[in-house]
Amino acid sequence: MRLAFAAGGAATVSALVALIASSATPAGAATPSATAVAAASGGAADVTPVRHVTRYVVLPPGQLPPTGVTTTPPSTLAVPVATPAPRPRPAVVTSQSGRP
Amino acid sequence: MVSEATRAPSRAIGGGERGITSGRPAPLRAQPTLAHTTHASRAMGGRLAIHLAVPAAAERSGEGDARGVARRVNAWSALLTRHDPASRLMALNDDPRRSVPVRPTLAAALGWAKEAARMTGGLVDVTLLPERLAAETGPGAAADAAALDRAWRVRPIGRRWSAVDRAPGTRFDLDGVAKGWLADRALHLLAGHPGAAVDADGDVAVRVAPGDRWEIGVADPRAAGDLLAVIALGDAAGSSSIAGRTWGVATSGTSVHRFGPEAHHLIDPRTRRPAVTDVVQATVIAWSAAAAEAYAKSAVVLGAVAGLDFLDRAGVAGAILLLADGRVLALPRTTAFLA
Repeated sequence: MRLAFAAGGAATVSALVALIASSATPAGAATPSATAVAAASGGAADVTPVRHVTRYVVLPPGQLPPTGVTTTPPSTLAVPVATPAPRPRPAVVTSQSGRP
Repeated sequence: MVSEATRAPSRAIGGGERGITSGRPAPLRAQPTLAHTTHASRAMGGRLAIHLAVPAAAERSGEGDARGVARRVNAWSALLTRHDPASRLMALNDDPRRSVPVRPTLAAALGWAKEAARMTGGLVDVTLLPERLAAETGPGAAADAAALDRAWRVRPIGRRWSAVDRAPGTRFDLDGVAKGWLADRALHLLAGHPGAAVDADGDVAVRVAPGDRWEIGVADPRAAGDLLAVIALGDAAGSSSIAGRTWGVATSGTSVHRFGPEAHHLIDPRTRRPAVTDVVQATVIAWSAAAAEAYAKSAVVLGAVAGLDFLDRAGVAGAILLLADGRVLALPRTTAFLA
């Protein structure tokens, strides 16, 4: 599984799952502890909180997002469609094949 | 063949008079008062509806043309079906030779299939018949095909004949690909009418007469008779960007042909198994029914996010997706077509 980070643009990938992670860290992603960061930077006074934000996880074909994760296309790609107002049914209807 | 003809009034608009001659393109100018007529029959194992926008005085002529085109579509589809062992498609599938001569209609349909594969990066793949049968009947149907070389091509070998080169054992399935292609072909036969719409079992090819308008419902697969949206092509003002052009509106999905909890007829060529996807159904508006069908199928296979991104980059006119969680999403440009 690859990770792709999109900064303001649409990632051209086979499947993008938006894991909006304001605080959550997805399973499998390593989060360095504050202690480790402090040690690496040379002292407790330099401790900087580190938060990982995973925006997109690219899934290979044949895999669905983990349970509970919402697939959310960016607004540049998708807008919600409201149920059409009551009206006479058009004579022409597109549908999946085999549907009467 | 079961047939019925119905008539519905269309918008009354002013403009020049002109007669109808099948096969000749109608000029792009405002038409006299038009009526929409419908000739409904069955073909390709599903429905075939031919809708015409005709001047009121020419309704009888239009009905005759529609019947003739329906006969042609039935004849073509009989050549391309995998459900008849005597079809030309099945003769090709059963032929043990590496290179097989084929006649023009099958060659043209396979030629389109090749183009659809190119347009979709291989997501449309007509060599997946064993995998589709496996989805229907069990994995044994695809056991012999696992190691098969799927490379194939169509090449002309004369004025009318072509040859299909492929590894023996390759079996083609044109079901979905052929329906959009047949809708476009039928619409071409109706070029003498000011406007027409051909519904080939859900894949619709449309040409809008100046000043006329076609409304196309998008079926909601969750409830018979319900619609997810209504697409409007054309308007009373006769938009020059819509009138006279051909359009395609096609729908693909996983909820009608299901054979088990995870088994359906849309095979992902990357896994050669039924696509695992969060898209239940995709409808695409494009420049032809064949292209719309190919892109709709690709969007379902890719899933919502990647599918919408793919459709956006492909330049389709619009797309409406029904997701597994019940949301209905559209490419933003689609809103220009929503009634």
